[in-house]
Parts: sequence; structure tokens; C-alpha cells
Amino acid sequence: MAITNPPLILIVEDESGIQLALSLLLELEGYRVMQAGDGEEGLTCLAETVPDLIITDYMMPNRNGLSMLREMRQDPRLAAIPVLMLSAVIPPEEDAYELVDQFLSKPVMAGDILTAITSLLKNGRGAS
Amino acid sequence: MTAKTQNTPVQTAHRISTGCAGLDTILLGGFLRGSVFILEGSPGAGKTVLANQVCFHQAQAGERSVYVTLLAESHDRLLKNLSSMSFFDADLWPMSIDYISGFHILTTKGLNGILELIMKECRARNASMLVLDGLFVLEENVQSEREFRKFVNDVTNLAALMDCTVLLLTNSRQQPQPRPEHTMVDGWIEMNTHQLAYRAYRDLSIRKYRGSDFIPGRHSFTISDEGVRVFPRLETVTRREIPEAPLEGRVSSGLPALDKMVSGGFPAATTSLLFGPTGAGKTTLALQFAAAATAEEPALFYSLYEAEVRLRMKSERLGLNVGEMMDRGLIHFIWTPPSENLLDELGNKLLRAIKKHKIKRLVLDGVDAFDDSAVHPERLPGFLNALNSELRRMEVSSLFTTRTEILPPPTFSVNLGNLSAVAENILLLRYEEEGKHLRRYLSVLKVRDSAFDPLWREYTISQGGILFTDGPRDPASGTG
Repeated sequence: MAITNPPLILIVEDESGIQLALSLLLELEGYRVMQAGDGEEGLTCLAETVPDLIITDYMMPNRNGLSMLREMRQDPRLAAIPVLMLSAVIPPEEDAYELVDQFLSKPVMAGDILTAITSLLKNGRGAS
Repeated sequence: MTAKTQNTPVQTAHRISTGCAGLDTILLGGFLRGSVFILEGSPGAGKTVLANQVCFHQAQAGERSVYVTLLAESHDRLLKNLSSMSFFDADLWPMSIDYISGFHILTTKGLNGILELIMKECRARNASMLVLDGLFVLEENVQSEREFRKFVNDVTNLAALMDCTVLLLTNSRQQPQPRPEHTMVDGWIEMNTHQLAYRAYRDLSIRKYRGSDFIPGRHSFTISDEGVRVFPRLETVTRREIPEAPLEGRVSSGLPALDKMVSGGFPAATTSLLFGPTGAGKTTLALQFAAAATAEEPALFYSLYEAEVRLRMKSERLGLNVGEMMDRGLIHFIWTPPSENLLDELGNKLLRAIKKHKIKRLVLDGVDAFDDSAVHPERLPGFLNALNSELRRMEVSSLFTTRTEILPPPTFSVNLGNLSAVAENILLLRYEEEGKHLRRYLSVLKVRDSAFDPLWREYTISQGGILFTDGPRDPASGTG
């Protein structure tokens, strides 16, 4: 029987406390976690590794979440990665719903995040 | 042991009851769910008792708590100390409250180890309440204040993610000033123990409550086998609105002759103040006032000096049927010895009894004892005003007795102090020597919106209580 790695999740979040809390939660649930502090760092991570899912904030310094996703979606390796966005506001940009598969508004509860992750990993893009 | 709570609902929408009715009142319903509070106080202030009280109260409703201690005290010892508290329920532990020592993890894995522990245990237990007892130990084990602040910030984020309400227990500083960690949490409760000469007393205050209003200022609390009991300052919790029109009707004083002096009785739902020196007959008149109670309008006799057995004996000697009325539930009795009471505890006890027994006639015998209970006597006028407003709102007719020295004529004078301002009706009792005889006199100084007979009337105390000997005049006749 082949041993499969647990899903790898990239967390892109500028608030270090939220980043840490999410990492601890996901690692506790058995996921592998990568972290980036803004959209620019997120793209750097994505250049080297292809995660199974991305959790990203919207408003971040240097490069915001949607800007990162626009860049990312042009790369065929990354185009199909499901994305969960955690944000206090729904982004006003017209392409927000094309780039993001599911939104959760902050403050977000652990149960809601885990449910969303399970669904996105199972069904892929457009699961919601 | 059966767990008891102080009659507080476990939670309203988004609020977590503390299990301490007075604290819930001050917090306007309890902690906001998912909030992080610092509970600060000197060693022995009651932080651990209060935190456990909250956890056990939540456990009664099926909620789970994680209690992480960073102190040297073992959990066995902690639980042994708690076991005498009425809120402690051995059946709820360890299933509903998980006690974990974090000290070893702190020393081996540092602050991140503690965060991992918190996340792991809260997640595994699906806990809605987390207590971290000994925040100051963490502070002592970090390299910098920045690292400590980051930890507090991380805890607030964990709490939000886990929808878990957090209490961080820590020792107060010698000069309590807001510190960076206070700006990072949602709430800050300070618990204090003070020394006043030989007396010690406790109070707490809410220093901060983000996202919620609260009742500011210091509020007394006690620690007993009931746990922490908080008594909000009466001035802050009594309802201010008063019925637009005063209640109509008269209430008998219990003495037909006195009723005649005050136009048929005291105005309903007013407070009458009876001043007089020791032995003048204040308690006798108070017993007669109480004895006018009926099943529809029961009385409460709240005594601050004489115990029930003594009052029963006194009543029997006077031929009053107060004892029998007590047995029939027409008169309720509370005795609070005038020792080191807390003003707000007395007020709370009094108002609860009035509400419970639907009291319409109240005697407060020895209200001067409130002076002794007031840690800060300057509060007394405001306190009595608040008490009086609440009694009026509850449509209770009251008689307060108080001891005062009255110098006889020609230097006749009396110090009515703070009390006179709260009373609608005022009566005075005094002595006068005449040869070998000591004569007693009563006079009415004030009756709200009514005519009254202002002359001194002589009376004796004998079988039947107070009896006037010179016959009161009808004030309406204009001859008084």
C-alpha cells in the first residue's frame, strides 16, 4: 500500500498571530503547512512548490491576495489549485469570484475553515 | 456534592455567564464569547476561585473547559482546596474540566510549546473556555517584553479561531498601570484586597471591556464556601425611574393614635424615619408597624441589632402577636449582626428578600449600623437614596429606626445626619426628666404632602406597646 503525503496547504497571511493560529490548527488536523507573509512571498513559495490548497487573506502589504491569485492563475501548474480567502470584506474587484473558490469572513471559526478545506480538497475548484 | 450556582443563566446570545450573579450584572451579562480577559490581583485575591467558578458553571451546562496552570501548586492540592466550595462538583471533573500543568512544557518548549498545548487541548476537548493560570510565570520566562506581547496576541488569535473564551490569570503589580498586554486583550478585571485599620475588605473593578458596556467603578466582593460573590454598588444598579404619580393611599403605622396625627397613616410607599435615643421605644414602635402586616401585604423585619429570639420575647412581653405572625409567614425576619458587613451586601440581601417574599411593609431596625458597615462613609447618602428609590419603585412602605442623642430643652437639638434627606416622613422620640420620673415624648417633624400634628405627645410603653397618654389632636381641626 502506497503511503501518501498529507495535503500541503499554503497560508498567506500578514497577521502573524492569525498565521500561527491557522498553522497550529491545520498541523493538528494532520495537514502539512507552508507560510507566507504577503502576496509577494506567496508567489515566491509557489514558484518552488505546488500546494494542494491555498488559504489567503485579501488585504496585505506589498501585494494583496487577489493580485497574487491573478499572477498565479496564469501559471498552468497552479491554475487548478483551490483557494479559500479569509477576509473581513468581500473584495470589490470583478474577477474576485473567478480567482477565489470560497470566501469566509473574519473572524473565522476553526470548524468553518476545516469544513471548507475538506470540501475544496475533495471537490477541487468550484466545489462551493 | 451538588453544584450550586448563584441563579444565573448559563449564557445569553454571545455572552458567557460567570456563574457569579453580581459579576454578570457588572459585565452586563457576562463575558462576550471568544473574548480574552486578564484577571489580575494579588496572591489570595480570589482569581483562581473565580476562574474555577466560571469553569464549573459552564460545565453544568455541558460546556468544556481547559485549565492550564503554570504555578507550582499541584492540581491535587488545587482540587482539594476547591472541594469545599459549593460550586465544585466532583462528577464534572475531569470530563468537563481538564486540568493541565504547563510548567514543564514552558521550560522545555517555550511559549510556542504552550500555544501548541492550548490549541491541541482545546481542539481535542472542544473547549469553549480556557484558563491560563500564572501569566506572570510566562513573563518571567521570556527574553523580552516584545516576545511576551506576541504571546498574548497569539493567544487572542487562537481564542478567536477556536471560539473559546479565555481568562489569563496574573498577579497585580505594586503600582497597577495599564501595560501593553492590557491593550491587546478584550477585557481586564482587577481584584483587590484592602486593609483599613484592623479591617480587610475586597473589591473588584472592570478596567476594560472591548465591545461591551459595563458598570464601572469598584464593587465589593466576598469569598466564602459559595465562591466569589460580587455585590455591585447599589447606586449603580437600582432602577432610576420612579412611578410618575406617587402611590395613592395611606399605610397604618400600627398605632391608631399615631395614624390620626399623620392624617390617617403614612403615605403609601414612602419611607418613615424614626429617630430616638436608646430605650425610647424605637423597636417597640417598629414591631407595632410590622404587626400591621396582612397576608396580602407581608412585612419584613430586618434587624441590625436584635436577634429573632429576643424580638419574639420582647413582642410577647408587650402583648404583640409578632411571633405568631412570623410563624404564619406574615412577617419575615432577617438578622444581620452589626459587625464587619459590606454595605452593598446588606442592600443586596434586603432587596432580594423583599422581592422573594413580595414584601410591602419593611422595618429596618438600626439603620445607624450601616454607618459601621460603610468602608467609605461618604457613600452612605447615595447608597440610602438608591435604596429608598428602589423601595419606592417596589411599592414598599418602610420604617427605618436609628439611634440618635437628643438634648432636652432648653438646648433641645438633634443631629439627623445624612438620613433625613432620604425620608419622606420623620418622627422623633425623646425623654424628659420630671422629678423622679422619666417621661417619653413623640413628635412628627415631617409627612410628605400631608397635614400632621406637630406637638410633642407623651406616651408610655406597656402591655399593647406604645400608648399615648395625652390624646392626639386631629391636625385637620387646626388645633394641633
